[in-house]
Amino acid sequence: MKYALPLAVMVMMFSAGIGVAGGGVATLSEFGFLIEQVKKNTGEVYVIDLRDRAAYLSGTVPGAVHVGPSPDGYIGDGRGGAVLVIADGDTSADILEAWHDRLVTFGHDPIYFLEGGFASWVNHDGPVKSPVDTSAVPGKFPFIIPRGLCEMNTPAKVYP
Amino acid sequence: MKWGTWLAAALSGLIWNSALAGEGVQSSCEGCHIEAAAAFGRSAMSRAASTSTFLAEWKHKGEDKACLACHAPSGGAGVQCRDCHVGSDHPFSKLDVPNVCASCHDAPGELTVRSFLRSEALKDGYGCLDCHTESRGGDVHDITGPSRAEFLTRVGRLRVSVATGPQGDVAVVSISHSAGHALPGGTSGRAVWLVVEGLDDVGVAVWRALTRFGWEYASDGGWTDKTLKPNRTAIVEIGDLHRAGARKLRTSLVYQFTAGEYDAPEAVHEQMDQVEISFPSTKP
Repeated sequence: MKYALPLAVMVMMFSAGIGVAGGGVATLSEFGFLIEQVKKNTGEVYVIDLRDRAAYLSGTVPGAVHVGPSPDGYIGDGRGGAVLVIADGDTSADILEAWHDRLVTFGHDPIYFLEGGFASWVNHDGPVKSPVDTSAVPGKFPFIIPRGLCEMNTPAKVYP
Repeated sequence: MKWGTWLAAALSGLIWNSALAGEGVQSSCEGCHIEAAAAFGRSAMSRAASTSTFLAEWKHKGEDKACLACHAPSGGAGVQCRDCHVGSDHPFSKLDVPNVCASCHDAPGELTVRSFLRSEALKDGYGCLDCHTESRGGDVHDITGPSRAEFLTRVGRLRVSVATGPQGDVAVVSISHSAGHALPGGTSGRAVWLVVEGLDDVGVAVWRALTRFGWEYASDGGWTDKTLKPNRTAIVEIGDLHRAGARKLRTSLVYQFTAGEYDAPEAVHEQMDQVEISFPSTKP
């Protein structure tokens, strides 16, 4: 594990009322819970990745969306719920605190931070996937919309 | 046994034997299995060869009889009892699910059952009928699916974030679903569309980005499976959100029953989920 979340950050989070039971720094047992939720893709935990674009593209938690390092300008959909924050192990306490405050604004609760960052997720055998495998691009590639199973060999329409 | 009772039993046997021989299968089943027949009669499967969607496609194809192999194997308006309850001796054995479903729902161009066999739903012990039947009093013949009102609203879920990147604001849309198989199920003409629209101050769409999930065909690459896989979140990123004076983002997940384009006049849609986000007034 290349990084352990600074004790000062952990104290800050617990004092802010986001202890283990309601999110905060994920404990060993919560790693298991989070991994299970991600594997089953239950939709119960929203996963955001703060790392740089290259790190995100090279592999992240399945289903994670890339929101970049800064919480400034971040807008959530207001649906709240649990959120798992993926960050580098050396992300500053100030940044994590700012993200916490921003996510609370959009109703997220609990908010999970991984002690040790993404490397810790990997060390706990959490699943990792390239987001490229699951991403789609709107209307970019010309393709033919099939007319149906019975026309498998004679598609009728070119898109877009 | 009284004469009347004996006669009735004999006649019902004659009817049954006649039914097994061919015509009248459905009516012979209904004679005894009243509730099951009524329940199945409510299902879209019982009308698989008579819906307007099917008839339009079938006409387009030149009314190819091959289509009826699944839509009406025994003729009539749709699937009938003996199309699934196979065997020669009555009472028939319990259905071999999902294999019996696979005969049509794993046809070329469809991977519903195949994708189910690789899903977490199967590992968790779920079967087709756990989601695809409206069980009343233990009867499981009311087969349900996307054509049933509100069925789809329980299936698809959108999450949307707007983040600021080097090229400006980007909407990151994640799509997850609870179906235990690829979405859309059914034949290759169906689709799930992600429709992202930029709205102006009065809610009028000033731009739109469409993403289609389903089967695609490229002239140089053949058929490609672009369905939404079970237990996997699909992610779509869209930039330049503020173009054309957009002040709000409306994101919709839409199921399309009919083949062809999203805007086709004959398109039949059902909304699965929708999310709206307003941009801060300080944004350009």
